[in-house]
Amino acid sequence: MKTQSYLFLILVLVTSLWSCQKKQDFNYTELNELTINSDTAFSVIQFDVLKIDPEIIQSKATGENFTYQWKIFPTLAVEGINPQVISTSKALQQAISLPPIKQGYYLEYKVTNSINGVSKLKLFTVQVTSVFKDGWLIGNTADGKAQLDFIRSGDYRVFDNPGASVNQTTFLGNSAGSYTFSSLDGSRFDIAYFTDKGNYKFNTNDFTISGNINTSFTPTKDKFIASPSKFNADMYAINDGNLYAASTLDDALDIFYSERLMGDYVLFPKIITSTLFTTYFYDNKYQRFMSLGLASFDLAPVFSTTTNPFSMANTGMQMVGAMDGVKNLGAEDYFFVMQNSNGERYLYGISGATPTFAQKILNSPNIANAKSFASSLILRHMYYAAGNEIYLYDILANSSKLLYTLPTGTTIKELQIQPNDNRTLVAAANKGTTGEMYFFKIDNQGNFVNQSYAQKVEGFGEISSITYRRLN
Amino acid sequence: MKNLILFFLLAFTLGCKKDDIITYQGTDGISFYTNYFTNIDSVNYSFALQPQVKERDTIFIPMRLEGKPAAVDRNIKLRALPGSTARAGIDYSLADIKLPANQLKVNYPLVIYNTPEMSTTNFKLILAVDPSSELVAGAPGLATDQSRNFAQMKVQITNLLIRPAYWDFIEYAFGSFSVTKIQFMIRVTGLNNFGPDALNFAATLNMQVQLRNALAEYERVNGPLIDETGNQVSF
Repeated sequence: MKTQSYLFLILVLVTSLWSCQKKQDFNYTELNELTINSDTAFSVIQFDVLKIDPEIIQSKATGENFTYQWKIFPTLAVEGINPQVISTSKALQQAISLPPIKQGYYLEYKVTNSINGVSKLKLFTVQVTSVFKDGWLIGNTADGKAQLDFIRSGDYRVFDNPGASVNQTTFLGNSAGSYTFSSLDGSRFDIAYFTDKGNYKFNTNDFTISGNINTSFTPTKDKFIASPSKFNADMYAINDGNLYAASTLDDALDIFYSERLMGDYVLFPKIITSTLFTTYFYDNKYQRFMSLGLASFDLAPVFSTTTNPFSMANTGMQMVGAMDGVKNLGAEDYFFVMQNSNGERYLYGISGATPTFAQKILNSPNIANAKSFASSLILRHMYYAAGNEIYLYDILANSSKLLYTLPTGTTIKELQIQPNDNRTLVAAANKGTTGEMYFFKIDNQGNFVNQSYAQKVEGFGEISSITYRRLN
Repeated sequence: MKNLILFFLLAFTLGCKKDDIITYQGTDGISFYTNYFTNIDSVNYSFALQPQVKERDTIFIPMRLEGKPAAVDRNIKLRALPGSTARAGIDYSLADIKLPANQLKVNYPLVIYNTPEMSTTNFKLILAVDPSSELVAGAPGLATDQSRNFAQMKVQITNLLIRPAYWDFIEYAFGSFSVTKIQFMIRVTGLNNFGPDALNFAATLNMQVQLRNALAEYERVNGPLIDETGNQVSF
């Protein structure tokens, strides 16, 4: 028995050693390594042809054949947009019909050796943009009909009322206002457009009708503003001092605004999205800020814990102007022009939900008549317009100077800083029933480059509002 | 020694045997079920909440198969469990139905009658699969999609205004339930179903605003609206 046990153990040992023996025959052949040289980031206007001709360098001149594949897919999954092979040629030359999306696309280039099946991959990023990629929406009224024209940034090309042209319709009534907003999942980017005879919702990329907007109120020209909350989960409209809201948390295509939110208030037409989850408003009746939480229609006065530099619960002043300041995630700056009972004007500021600034405006000609305001997003400056004149207010120096005077008979309707460069002041102006747009480039001191505008665009009806359409 | 080696070889060979995949074996069953958003084991029905007067109505109760679909229709029979106060043939009737061939789900049509006693009484009906049913009672439990199977389904039938089972889902918008409140809601909106199956979140918030405004107008004319428990109605 003992002998048998030894024999068994020896057998196991030999078997184990045998199984570990390395006796395999590998035949190594050096691969033909490929190097793909090309730019990696591309931008293309939807429906234009994207051309990429990468240089492919082989480590060995073997004369091997290759197959090619170009596959495009969103950088983050988007419902309804699936990966698709758009070419099997060495060089890409293909019209891109995929819709513009904020996160852009990956384009995977795959070169495969036909003999051994080894592939080399290279990843490109592609940003598909729209013909209307970014620019200004000009709400105006001509011959009793509302229009929403578009001025494209960069080349200042004007598209006459594209929403009406694309959808073969006309917009009745007077233009009241517009805003742009994304769906919660980021797959849609729309324009909401209001007239005093109807509401419209367009896809920003092509201006096709993308749903309906239902309101219980009639937007009032020059007394109307609407815009979304920070995350586009709620939509707000202030019409003649009254607040209306719509939730888009269900992400439905159609938007239904509520009845007037209950309360005793008369709101200034400005929607203040200075914090992530709370939107603020200003009540000129009781001279206080009010607020709404995310996905809540409980409009309530703010409770202020400080009076320094001012109390948001009781400012004691009327708001006559409001401007977006620097946008930091979580706490955005806003500036407000306030007026006391003596007609004296003050500049107030908040950051997020905190009052940060209050200063009586001094040494500023025509400030008492100013109706349009825009805050510099670079310097401690504010631009204001009174009649046909544009002034620069230096906040630190607490004094203003005249920068530019538009032609006699022109009245500036609205001032805004172009958000994508922070160095362009955009002025919408009316001369009777015709509208004009002026684009002033701002230098490092806040003055206008060449003391004049860089571009003037004419041919609009009477402008009621302008809205910036950002890139997707 | 030879035997020992043979033993090991046999053991290794057997050890390598591939098992068959275990599949469900047993009698096919049928269960009541609700999805994640309506995960409740009861249905409350009030004739008083209907848009028009009804002598009878049908409540459709979702049921689903536990087991394999079959190529033939299979019989489903329900019964009332002890504890039920509703009267068979008077307040309700239970029909034998079939799960259609190759189907996984069916809505059981519970027929209920608006009897005079319902004006003062809330009848309870506890339903379960009858043992004589071709599809036996399925096992209760939670599915991976958070839907839930129930062995019993409780149904309350009345002509009184009662707290709907969905009220938990809308309490954030309309506050606590009262008969006075829901009567006011029905009168203002013209609706009788305020549950999440009828109103999405946006519509619920809009209705909250509508009801607040209507209540403010009511109070301006009539003073506070007081409910049956003495509390002031609010939204």
